[in-house]
Amino acid sequence: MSTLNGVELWKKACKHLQEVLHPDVYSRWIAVIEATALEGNQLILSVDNDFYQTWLEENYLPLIQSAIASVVEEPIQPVFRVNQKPVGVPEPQAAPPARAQIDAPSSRSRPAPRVDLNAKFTFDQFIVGPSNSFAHAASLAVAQAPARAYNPLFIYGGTGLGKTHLMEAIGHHVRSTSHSRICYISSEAFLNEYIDALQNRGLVAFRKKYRNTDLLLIDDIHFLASKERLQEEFFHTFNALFDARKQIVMTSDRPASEITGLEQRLVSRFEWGLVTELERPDLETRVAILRHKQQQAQVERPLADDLLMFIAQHVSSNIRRLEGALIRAISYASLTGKELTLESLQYLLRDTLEQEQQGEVTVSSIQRMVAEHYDMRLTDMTSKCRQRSIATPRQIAMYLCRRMTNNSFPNIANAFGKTHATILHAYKTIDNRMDVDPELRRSVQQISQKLGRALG
Amino acid sequence: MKLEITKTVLLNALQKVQNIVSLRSTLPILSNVLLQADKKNLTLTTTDLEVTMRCTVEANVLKAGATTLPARRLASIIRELPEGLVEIEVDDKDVASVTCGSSFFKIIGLSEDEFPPIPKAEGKFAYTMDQSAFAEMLRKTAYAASADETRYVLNGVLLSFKNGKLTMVATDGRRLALVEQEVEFPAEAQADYILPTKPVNELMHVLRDEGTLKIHASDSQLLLEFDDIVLATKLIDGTYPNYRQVIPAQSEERVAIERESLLTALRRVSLVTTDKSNATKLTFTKNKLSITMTTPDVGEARETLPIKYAGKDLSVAFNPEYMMDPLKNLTNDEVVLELTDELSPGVMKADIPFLYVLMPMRVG
Repeated sequence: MSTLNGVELWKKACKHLQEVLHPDVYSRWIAVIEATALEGNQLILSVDNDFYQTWLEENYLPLIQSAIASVVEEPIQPVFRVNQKPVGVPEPQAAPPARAQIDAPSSRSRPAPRVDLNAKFTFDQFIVGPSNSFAHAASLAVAQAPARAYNPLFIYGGTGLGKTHLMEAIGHHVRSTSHSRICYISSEAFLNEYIDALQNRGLVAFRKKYRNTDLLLIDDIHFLASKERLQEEFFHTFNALFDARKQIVMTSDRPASEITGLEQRLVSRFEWGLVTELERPDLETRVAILRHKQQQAQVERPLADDLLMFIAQHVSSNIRRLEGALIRAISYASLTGKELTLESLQYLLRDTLEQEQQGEVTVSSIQRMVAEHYDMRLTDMTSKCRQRSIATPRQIAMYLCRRMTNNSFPNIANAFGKTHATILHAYKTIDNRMDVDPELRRSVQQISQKLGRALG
Repeated sequence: MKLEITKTVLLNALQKVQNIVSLRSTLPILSNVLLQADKKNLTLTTTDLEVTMRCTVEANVLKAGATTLPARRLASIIRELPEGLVEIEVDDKDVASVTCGSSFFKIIGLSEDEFPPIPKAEGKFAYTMDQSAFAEMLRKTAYAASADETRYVLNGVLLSFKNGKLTMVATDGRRLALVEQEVEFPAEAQADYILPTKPVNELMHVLRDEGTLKIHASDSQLLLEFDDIVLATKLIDGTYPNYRQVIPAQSEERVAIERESLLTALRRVSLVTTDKSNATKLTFTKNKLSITMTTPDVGEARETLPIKYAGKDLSVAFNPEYMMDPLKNLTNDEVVLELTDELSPGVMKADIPFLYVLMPMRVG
C-alpha cells in the first residue's frame, strides 16, 4: 500500500501534467485544482465552480487519470467536487409573481431533475377519513418539516386508495414553501433511467441527479423486487440521502416485509422511519369524496344525495372506481338531459357493480370453484389421493392460486396441506401443459372466468 | 365568433405558432391554439407554459369572440383546403364550423377560459435591434448549447447586454461559441439573460431578414415583439458560468483557411466516422493542411488543402461535427484557426466579432 497522501500524490501528478500541457492550459485548468483528500481509491479534487468541474471532466479527465496512474500503481479515480465557498451568490429569490398561471411542471425555473407532479394532487384535494387520517397526518408533518419529522416515510395500501396523491401532495407543499430540489419518480422510470445510464455510461450523472435532491419521492417501490442491481443502486442512493438528512418518501402496494425478492437490508431501512397504511375508505368518507368530486366537476345538475349514497354503498374497493362511477352518472345526466333515477343508475353501473360483488379471489374460493367445475368434493383438494382425476384438478387449483392471488408458494402450500415444492411442481406442470393441451387450457380459462377474472 | 379569412394568411399564421404546441402534453388545453377575433384582427396564441407565441393577422370579423381549437389538427385541415376564403363560425359550446368552397368541417374545441393567461409586455428594460442581426447571432451560437439536462444553465444561449454590446454565448463543456454586436441601450439596462433552447429554435425559424425586433425583459421572462408576432418565454433561472475562463489567452500558431474548402474537406472526411471513433486529425506542415481520419473496421480518408502556413509542424485532432457547426453558420470567406499544440484548445475566429473555442481530442 502506498504511503502517499492525497496532496502529495496530486503534486506528483501535476508534474507529469506540466510536462505534457501547454503552460497557458496548465495554469488555466490544472493549477487551479486543489487536492483535498484521498478517500479509498478516490482522489478528491476540489475546484471553484461547477463550470470548472464540467469542463475538466469533459476534456481533461483521461489526461489526469493517466498522470495519476504514472505516479501510483493502485487504480485511483479522480473525483471533482465543487468548493462550497460562499461566493456571495445567494439564490436570487425569483420573486414568484402572483402566478395566475397553471402551476405546471417547470423545468426551467427549477434546477434538474424535472418534477412532473399532477397539479390535482394536493393536500386540500385529499378527503380525510378514519381510514387514512394517520397517513394524511404523517404526510403533512413530513411536508411541513422535510427530513425532520419522519424519515423515510413509507406509505402502503391497495390500488386507488391515495398513495400517489399523498406523495405528490408532499411534493407540491414542499415546492411551494421552499426552494428544495424535488425529485418525483416511479420505480419503473427509475429502473429505465438506470438501464439507460448503464448503457450510455452515464452512471455518474445518474447518481448525481438522485443524490443531489432534497426530497426524493419514489412511487411503487415494490417494483424493485427481484432486481438486484437496481436494489444495490437504490440502497446507496438511500444511504447517501439519508446521511445528508434529505427526506425520502416511498409508496408500495404492500408492507415492505411482504415484498418478496427485496433484500433484507432494504426492508429494514424502509421500516426505519414511519410506516403508515392507507385502508379502504368507510362509507361516510366515500360519500364525502363523491360530494367533493361532484363539486369540483361543477356540474349543472348535481346528483341527488340518495344517488351518491347508492354509488358509495356499492362501490367500495377503490377510489378510482368510485370516481369513474360518478363521472359515468354525471355524464349520463348531462348528455341525455334526462333526470337520473335509482333504477337507471343501477342499470348504468351494472358492470361495475358486478365486479364489486365478486370481490377478491382467494385460495379457498379457487378451491371451491375448481371442485365445483370437476364435480369433486372440496376435501379432495387437500387429500393425499393421487388418482389422476383428482390430482390434475388439484394441480389446476394450485396453478390458479399462484396466478390469481398474491400468495407465496409456502402460503398456498399451507392451504393445500402440501409442501411448497409440490405447488411449484404443479405450477410448472400446468403452465407447460397449457401450451400443448387445448382441452386443459379451455378448462382453466372457464374456471378463471367464473372467478370473475381473465388470466392475463 | 364568426369570421372570414384567406386560407394562405391563416395557414401562415398557424404554421408560425404551431411548433410551440408540444406533442405529448399533460394538459389537453395546451394542444390547442387560442383564437381571438376582434374588430379587424384574428389573434392566434399557443403556449406550453414556458413559451407563448402570438400571431395577429387581418381578417373580416363578422362577430367578435374567442375559442380554442386543437392546433395541429386545425393546421393540417387548413393546409389541405382549396385556395380562397375560409369561413369559421364557433357556437357557444366551442364547436367550430369551418367552410371553404365545397369543404365543410366541424371541429370540437375547448373554452377559452381554460387557456393559461397570456404574459404581458411589461419588463424592467427594453432593447431594440434588427431582426436579421439578432437571428444571425443566434444562428452563430445556438448549435453549441448543451442538451444535457443535468447542466440546465447551459441548456440555452446567454444574452449579455453590457458596455453597449450584446454578447451571445453557448457552450456544452467541449466547445464554446461567442458572438458580439453593438446595440444601443440605456446604461442601467445592463443585464444577463439565459434564453432556453426551444424559443431560440423558434426565433431562428420565424425571424425575418428585415424589420426591427423589440425585447422587453424582466428577471424571469423575455418578451420579443416583431412583425405580427409576440413571443414570450421564461428564462433559465441561474447564473451562467464565467465563460471567459475558457478562452485561451494566446496561441502560438495562426492560420487563415478558406471556409468553404475547409467545410467540404471536413464533410468528406467525416463520412468514415462512426459513433465511437470520430477524432479527425489535422496536420499542418509548410503551406499544407492534411485532414485524415482512420476508423478501425471502416477505413480511412485523407484530404489535402493548400494553405499559407509557415509555422511549426503541428498535428491536432478534433471532432469533425464540432468543427463543421460554426463553418456552416458563418458566411465569411475565410476563417482563422489559432492553435498551440495537440492538447491545447483550438480557437476559430472570423473577421466579425466571433469566437469559437474547441477542445482537441486525444488520439491513441
